[in-house]
Amino acid sequence: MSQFPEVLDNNLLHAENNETAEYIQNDGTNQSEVFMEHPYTPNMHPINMPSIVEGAVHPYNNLIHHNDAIPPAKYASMRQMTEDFWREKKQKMTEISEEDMLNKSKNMSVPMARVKKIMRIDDDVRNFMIASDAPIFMAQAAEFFIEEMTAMGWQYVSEARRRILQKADIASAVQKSDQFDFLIDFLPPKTVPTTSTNGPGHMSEDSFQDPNMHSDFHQRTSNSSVNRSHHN
Amino acid sequence: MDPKPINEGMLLEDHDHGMPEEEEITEDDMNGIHNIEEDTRTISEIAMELHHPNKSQVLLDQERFLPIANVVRIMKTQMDPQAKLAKDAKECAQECVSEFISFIASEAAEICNITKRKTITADDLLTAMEATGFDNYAEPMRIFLQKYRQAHKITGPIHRTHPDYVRPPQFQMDPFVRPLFFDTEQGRRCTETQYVINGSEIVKNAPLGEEWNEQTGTLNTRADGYYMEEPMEPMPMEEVEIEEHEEIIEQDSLGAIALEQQGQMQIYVDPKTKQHFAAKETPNGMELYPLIIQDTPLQLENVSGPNQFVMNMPDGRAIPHGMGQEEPQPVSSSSVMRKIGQNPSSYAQQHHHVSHVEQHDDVEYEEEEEVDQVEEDTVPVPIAPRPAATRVQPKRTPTKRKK
Repeated sequence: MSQFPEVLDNNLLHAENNETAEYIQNDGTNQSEVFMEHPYTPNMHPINMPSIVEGAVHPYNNLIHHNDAIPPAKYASMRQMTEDFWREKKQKMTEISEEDMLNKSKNMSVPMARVKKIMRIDDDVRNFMIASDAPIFMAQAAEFFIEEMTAMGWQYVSEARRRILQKADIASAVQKSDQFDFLIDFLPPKTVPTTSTNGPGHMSEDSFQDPNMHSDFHQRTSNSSVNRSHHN
Repeated sequence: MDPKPINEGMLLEDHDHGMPEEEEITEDDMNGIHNIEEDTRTISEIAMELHHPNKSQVLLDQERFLPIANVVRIMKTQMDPQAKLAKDAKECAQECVSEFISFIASEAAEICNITKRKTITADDLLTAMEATGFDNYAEPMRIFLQKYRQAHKITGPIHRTHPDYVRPPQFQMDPFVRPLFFDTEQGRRCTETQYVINGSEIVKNAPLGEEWNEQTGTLNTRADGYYMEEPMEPMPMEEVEIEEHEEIIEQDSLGAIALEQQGQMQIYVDPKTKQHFAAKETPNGMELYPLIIQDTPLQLENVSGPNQFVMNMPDGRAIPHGMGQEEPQPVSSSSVMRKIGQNPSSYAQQHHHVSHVEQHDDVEYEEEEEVDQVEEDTVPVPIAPRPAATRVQPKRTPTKRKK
């Protein structure tokens, strides 16, 4: 944390702004912040875009610069996207028929037993019984959650004229919304991913590892092997 | 420049994905499995170190997260078909949605704690979302719950909106979410109400115009009925909606009592004998009427017993009726139940339909309409007046956990 004092100050200022600003003003503020501070798009205006160099060596060079093949963002702002998203979801729920509801409750998009186990992870929930309609309800809510988070991240990708949704896009979406405060521990703000240089072989259980740290593929394979042998 | 290393990483990833579609899918699945294992270990270490230093139990790798294939399939519905998903974005969504499920479940558990209930239901999850700022979810999920109950022919409790809920701007002009109706062999039922009848069954449509309050968006119930009722496992229960009293009294040749109220009836359960009772509060105290449950998957016994009980508060004293009486049976630690007047044959042939509700201590219940008892051999017994307990429900501020 102490390595990024400026980032912390910005976060504190943003937090204060979010707490005091009204709903609409908050959205406006966030929107302007998004345009100014998005890490991957230092030049947002097409006029300032550097021209595409002919004969570029790398075949993916066009993803970095302005490309006419990529359409502009579908929505003008994140707030408009969110409102249209939820209007669509509510309309979809209203129009679902009785037969479709029966089929849906039998074939949810996520496994029901897994949802129930995840619900019981927290110690507070362990002492309670879970009614039979709760996992189905939670599975549908989880589907909405994934869709909303992805749609918000995709809005950033569209505004930047890119085609790859990355973790930083989801992290930006989470930081701009109050309802995702409980995810702050999972998404440290504006951390640049770095390659881990830990020693080869087994990693000690007592060592603390930053959840945002990315290990190289070889280390992942090694850790996976260790985990697999441990469980077998 | 900072953007350059990131771009290089992106280009490398693009190069890795430049393979046939089938092979790409296979590689994604393989990477997903590895990522699940590593992320699980990492988060387990954090959890053990921060919250449970003495616990050695760790959930299995595959059980802590939703399958990444399902998560990716849902994510791609919100993106362009040509778009690509980075590996870290898949893992990130997988972790976030598990934290969302655990967070909402924990909030629902706190809501159940406040109302002294032991089972978390879908309605509690809905209230938890309203309490934690997920206001956009409330109306679509409430519609989902109504449709689910309608399709499975289930009646659930009336939903009480959490006081911290703020209606989102895009729904301001919409009508409120209304309960739905479904048909059963006994007639039309409502997905968000529960009635109890102690007598022959009367099939009536719920008077929607009278019950539904458009301004508050809820059925007309007592104003302070916040988190009062709890259904057990939702199951296809048969319930009766009552509209006219005289018709009920006339049709019931056994002289049973028909109870009706605009809201929900308080149901008590004797944990020892599994006998269910309908609670009716009178000026002389709270009277319990035995109910026989039928067509329940729990296969409760049809217990025949006396037709009337009187519940005493610890400071009260019941005057026994002239007819036979038995020893009091413990229903809860704060009350003693005593039987007055035995008339087994009067309701042995009755058929009652009721949903299961656990007993609540110090439960207040305001009856709007009272039906006189028809049985000639049953005389109200004067007992000590029950003190009027005023229940004040404190308002909760949204609890957002921060580790």
